[in-house]
Amino acid sequence: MKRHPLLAGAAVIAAAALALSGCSGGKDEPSAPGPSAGKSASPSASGAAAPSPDRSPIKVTINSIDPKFSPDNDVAQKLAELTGVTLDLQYVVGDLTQKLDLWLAGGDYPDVVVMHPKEVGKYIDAGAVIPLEGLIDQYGPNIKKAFGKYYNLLKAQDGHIYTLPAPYLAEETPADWEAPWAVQYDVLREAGYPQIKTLDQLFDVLKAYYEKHPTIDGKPTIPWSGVGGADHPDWILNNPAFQAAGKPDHSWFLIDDRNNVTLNILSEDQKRYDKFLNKLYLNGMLDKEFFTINYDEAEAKTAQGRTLAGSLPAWFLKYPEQSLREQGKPERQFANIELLFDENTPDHSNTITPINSNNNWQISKNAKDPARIIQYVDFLLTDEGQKLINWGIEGKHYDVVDGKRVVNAAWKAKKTEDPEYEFKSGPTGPFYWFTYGDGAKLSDGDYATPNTKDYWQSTYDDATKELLSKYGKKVFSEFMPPVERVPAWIWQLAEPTEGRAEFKRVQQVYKKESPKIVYSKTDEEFEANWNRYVEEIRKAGSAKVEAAYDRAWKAYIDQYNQTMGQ
Amino acid sequence: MYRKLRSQYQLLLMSVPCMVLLILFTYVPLWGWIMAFQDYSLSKGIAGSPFSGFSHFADLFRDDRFYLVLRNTLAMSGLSLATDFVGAIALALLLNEVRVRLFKRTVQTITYIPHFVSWVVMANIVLGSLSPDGGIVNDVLMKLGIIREPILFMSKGSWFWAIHTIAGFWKELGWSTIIYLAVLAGLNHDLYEAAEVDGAGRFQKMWHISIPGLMPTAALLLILATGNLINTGYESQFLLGNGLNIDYSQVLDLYALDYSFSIGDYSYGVAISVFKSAVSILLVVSVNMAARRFGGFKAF
Amino acid sequence: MRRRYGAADYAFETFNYVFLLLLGCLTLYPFLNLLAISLNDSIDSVRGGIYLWPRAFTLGNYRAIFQADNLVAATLVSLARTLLGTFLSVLFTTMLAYTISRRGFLFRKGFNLILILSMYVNGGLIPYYLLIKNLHLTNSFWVYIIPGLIGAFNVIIIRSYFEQLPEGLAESARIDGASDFAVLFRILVPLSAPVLATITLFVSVGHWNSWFDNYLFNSKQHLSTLQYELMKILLKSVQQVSTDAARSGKVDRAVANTLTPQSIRASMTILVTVPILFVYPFMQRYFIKGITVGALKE
Repeated sequence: MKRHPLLAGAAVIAAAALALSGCSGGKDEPSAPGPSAGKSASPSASGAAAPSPDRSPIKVTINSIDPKFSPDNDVAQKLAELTGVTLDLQYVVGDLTQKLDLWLAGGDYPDVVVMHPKEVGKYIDAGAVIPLEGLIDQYGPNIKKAFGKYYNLLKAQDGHIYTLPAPYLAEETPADWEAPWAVQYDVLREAGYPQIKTLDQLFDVLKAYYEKHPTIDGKPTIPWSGVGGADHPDWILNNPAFQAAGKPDHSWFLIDDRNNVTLNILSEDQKRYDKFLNKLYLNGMLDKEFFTINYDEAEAKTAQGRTLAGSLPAWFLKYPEQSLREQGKPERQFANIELLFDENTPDHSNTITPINSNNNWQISKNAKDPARIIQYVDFLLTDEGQKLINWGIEGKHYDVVDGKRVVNAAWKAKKTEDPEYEFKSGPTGPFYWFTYGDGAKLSDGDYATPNTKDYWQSTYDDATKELLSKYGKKVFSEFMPPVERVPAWIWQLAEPTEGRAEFKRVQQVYKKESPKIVYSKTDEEFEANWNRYVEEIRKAGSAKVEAAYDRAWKAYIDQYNQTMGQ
Repeated sequence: MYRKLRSQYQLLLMSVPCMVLLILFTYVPLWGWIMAFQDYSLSKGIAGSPFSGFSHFADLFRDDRFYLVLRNTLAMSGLSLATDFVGAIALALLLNEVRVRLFKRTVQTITYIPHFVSWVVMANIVLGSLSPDGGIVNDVLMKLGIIREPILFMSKGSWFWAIHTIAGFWKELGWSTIIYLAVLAGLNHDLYEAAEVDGAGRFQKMWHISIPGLMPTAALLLILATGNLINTGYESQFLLGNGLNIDYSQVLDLYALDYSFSIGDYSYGVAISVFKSAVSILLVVSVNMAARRFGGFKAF
Repeated sequence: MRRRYGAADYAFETFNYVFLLLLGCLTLYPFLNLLAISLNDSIDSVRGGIYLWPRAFTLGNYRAIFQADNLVAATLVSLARTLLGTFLSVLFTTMLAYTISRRGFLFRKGFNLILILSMYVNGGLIPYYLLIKNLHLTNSFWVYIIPGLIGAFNVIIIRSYFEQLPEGLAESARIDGASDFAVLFRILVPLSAPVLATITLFVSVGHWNSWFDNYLFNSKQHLSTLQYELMKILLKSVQQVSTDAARSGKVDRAVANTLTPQSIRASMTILVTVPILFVYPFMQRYFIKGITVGALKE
């Protein structure tokens, strides 16, 4: 089960991975243009109009990590018609990393290998993926246009481009993003819909509600819970800690103004959050199973409606909230709001990156006609392509009403009824990866994707609408601070090989010692436990981990600054 | 020699192709063990990766964590081997005493069902039953007045071995019993007849016929199983484990997985695998020798 | 003089039946629990509390699984590999077991040792993958059959059973000039029905449940096995959460009838387990046959 919270609204930096992958030299020169090159007209140097492309039908093999993708839905067919390219999906049902390693060992990877930027380094080192910059120069004017000033970030340290991430053109918070802290509607209602800004303010509200309602539906009320500490100790402690401090999501790390990297779990923020949990514990308000419950059980518990609040991201709440609505308890759903340790802390927790890098496309040396693949991607990055992969086909998946695109009502009804239908017919497939991103706009000034505030609002139930109206919000994303662009998130850089074993050990100490801190009975005990925890983490080699990531981050930032001409 | 070979051509015909296949698919891939002595990298392959001697083994033996997980591995597999072994034989003997055939078959079939239920599901059932928040075990203990506060079963590290053993016993008991039932079914029926004529009771028959009949198979399975003491798998421990019991729940296979997959250090993972094979072979050979010496029985 | 049925016997019988009944209930529970969950509305199951009986009955989970394409073809592939694979494997395993049970066989000791040790060594996934690839077994049906043809554990079990059989039978046949094939298939095999049935069960269950070889070696749709297709469906539901989040905007708060991993897993387990449950009673017939045949021949 791979649910990475950090991938929620994912965006990543590919170039980073490449920059740091430690290329071993002796690379092939940019490969000669593919066989189709001769047939294509040469591109006009300035214009974004694609050269009149070869549209003879070809099949391109590609690995798909998502078995839901249907290879021949309406949009895929339309794309085949427009570009001649049909994607032949090879589903990987199981561990993708393992499969990528075996493919690499055996040399039998597909034409297009889709992978996380973390994995790309080994493929580059082995010479399994080909450099693309020559092909892009010739066949990818729209690729260049879409990435704009960030285009050079695609380059690896050796100056070649091996990987195709997606441009991230959003200038506003995507409409469906939600802050990480969840509070039950009923708690907010009973408190008179107060403006809650800090964890301590929330604590008081929870305490009042808990004292009044020690049980809900005959079972004990749980004022504070998490997403399953047994499988995911980082999600219940580490992530909330930096979130409450208003810091951007660099998973285990904090990055200061001078780009120094330190471990979050050793920070004052972590200590402060542990202290907050300790306060909940001492007041009997922390879920008894906070550290021992697993994801599935946590989901079940949350669906019973007796959890009042917690660090519960929206993606975790999906099934529980559905269940609560079906049980006729819409008032037990959760509002995701923004909280901090301290009202006056500046809040930088809502971030996006210049490039969306997660399921990047690489063209392997097994590809017979790389030029056609570049042309395909080039088309996806035109306005026409964006409409097709985000909205679908006009008249079928969307309509234009008063000059604005809206989701077709019949199509919406159909996919609500049958979730599979969306994949069998709609704009879904590996090509979807190249979306400009939610919150981005096309040249016509309208949104690039159907994920708009209007759309979201139209899906809410009455209880949700009422709650939002009390706070004067349209959608939950409006609770979040304004979105900021950061050069990258550190968790998307290639993992430094140095200190990997130490990092694993550090995480284990963290997993083992954290509960003891939270379960301290007195302040002195808390201090003692915290100090021992810090000492053990240091002993496990935290300095080596920090140094390795510090180097990696600084190297990336150097490249970033160079690219951006600073 | 040649003549013997010729006279045994039928036996050779039967066995040699099989052995070729077996060697091809189990022994030939052992060239991968070279990785344990290299700093293997996928992109360079075996041929291109530099050799590092015994450094991975040295790292392994230097790691304190390794001894802890080794202890957990041996303790947990020892416990499940013992319970499973005794339990399966006992259940086979009990089932053998049932004369209502439909009942016997039904119980037999039912007891082996949990074998097919994945650990993910079993772990959720176990964790749900032991939950301090409405779990059936705590509820019953509270109602009976044995405890006042729910017990946090999964937070108590030292209880993990017991919980894991019971869960595994529940899941695999029926499956382990099948083979003993087959052996019991194959025992010479005349022996029972004769014993009955001699006036032997139920327990005497069990003691003098059934148990000795099971012994060769039981001893064989026991010897083979000692070789697997170090191979516990990791799924059940991983699914039942959490931060509070990690010092008791982490086993060697999980530790190896952490390194060879999460960390991507294939060489270290292979070194662990080589170490495991060495221990397995040492165990199985010495137990076999001991059995031959003291019990007059050998597996090979 | 047959012993009378005493009080101790009655006490034992009572204990035995009650004990086995309880044990049966205990081991049946996970299955019944899964059955209940598989027949319960997916979203309703999320809040837990389903034990033996569905709370909101539906066949929707099964319907959703049966909607998947390729399920029929995958079932046929699974059946084919199970039938053919089991037959060939048991045949070759039995022959090998016979040879190493024969006293006086030249390579008896050597083969025995190679077999036993093979259970404890493992070269790792990468060399194995390269081997299969170099043998051109990838994207081929035969990768399901050939690599696992000989299971050392099964060979040793059958060997031990053969060794336990009365020596005289085979010996006298050999003196009468019977070939090794005749001795094995005419005399030993009929006498060994219980153990062969057991090994058949082990091997067939292994074939039926296996999906890893499919994932590793076969990416062509027409070679997909049932377990693999079901894994795909499960993965779909697991990924629902993550990709929805990643792709953002495709989660519809109004969507009611999505399927959760829990429900899919339950229905899947029931679907693949039920056929196996029918195999076992069939095998049990041979547990009895062994006795009668054995008694006749003695």
